[in-house]
Amino acid sequence: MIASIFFIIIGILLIGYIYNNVRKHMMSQGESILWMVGACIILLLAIFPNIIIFLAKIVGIDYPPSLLFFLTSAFLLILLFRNSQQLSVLSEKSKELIQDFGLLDNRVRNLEKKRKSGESNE
Amino acid sequence: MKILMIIPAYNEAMNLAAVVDDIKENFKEADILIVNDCSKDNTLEVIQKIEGINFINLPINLGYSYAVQTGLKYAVQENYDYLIQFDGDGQHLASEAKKMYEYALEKDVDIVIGSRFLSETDYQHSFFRKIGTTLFQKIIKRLTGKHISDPTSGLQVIKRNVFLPLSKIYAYPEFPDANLLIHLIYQEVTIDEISVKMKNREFGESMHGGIIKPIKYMMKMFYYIVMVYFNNLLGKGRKK
Repeated sequence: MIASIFFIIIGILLIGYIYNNVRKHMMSQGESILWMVGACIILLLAIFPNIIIFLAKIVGIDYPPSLLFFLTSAFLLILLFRNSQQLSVLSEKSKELIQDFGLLDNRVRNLEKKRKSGESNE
Repeated sequence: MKILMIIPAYNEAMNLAAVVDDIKENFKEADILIVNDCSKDNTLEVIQKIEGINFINLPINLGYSYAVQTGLKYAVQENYDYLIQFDGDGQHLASEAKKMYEYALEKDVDIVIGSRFLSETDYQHSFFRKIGTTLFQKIIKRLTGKHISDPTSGLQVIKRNVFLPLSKIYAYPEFPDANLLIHLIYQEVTIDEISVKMKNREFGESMHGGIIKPIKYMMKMFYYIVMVYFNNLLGKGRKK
């Protein structure tokens, strides 16, 4: 009983924490979806722990906690992979930006030089 | 014909002035672009003092290949017909670059690589370098049937029809060596090599120093080559 109350509290706190992050713009709404789903599942399993036993029976797993571990690691792997993916997209985008900044900086410098030499000619 | 020399520079304050003087003396036709890849030493000040060159100053360090790609973008923007990749460390000689450029014009080749290994030169290369070069020679030969003796050479003459698509690659390769060459050969780009003299670098440290870095480089390069191979196999490599 105490254990399930403990996990229910953790689930609620997690949902609140993620919601607060989104509200304060520390995490984007799109990014928070997966985490929010994860937190809701934790809460759901804390309230109805029998779900995992039921699911294990359907899939044919003798030891229900192993299903829980499998689902957790699968969920974490998906999140991690998404992170890597977005990291590479971001670094490519920033590469493009830095390169274009360099090119623009060069053009501005040349234009300024031209303008200055034009002024001194007048 | 407009020709651009691209010199990517990272902490090359000691070498750059001499390199630029060499180009101005021995290859007057070429415009010079130095890409300062956010050097930690006073490279920027040195560049600013040199007259008659253009330079791009990157605000954040991007690494060798992306600095080169910035140069490609500049060459596209300013409508250059040929560009020459030239190292800022004093290894390359402008007279050799000129020879390569003339060869490219004469034979109408898309890429001319300045090779250190085509004939016996007094260029000293380390043990790992030697193994790596032979290995990648063999891989290129196997995959494309073309013999390229120096796939890691930084001295290359590239024609506009090749560097135009390269400048637009979003995910430009981290090391544009054997993998990029194989990719280009698959796209029926003509590549030729001529033997070139090179000096050993004067000051500063090489990009591929130490023991761990070359091993890392080799493993990554294998992976990139496998990727290029499968891209081509699945028909994506042919898209330009």
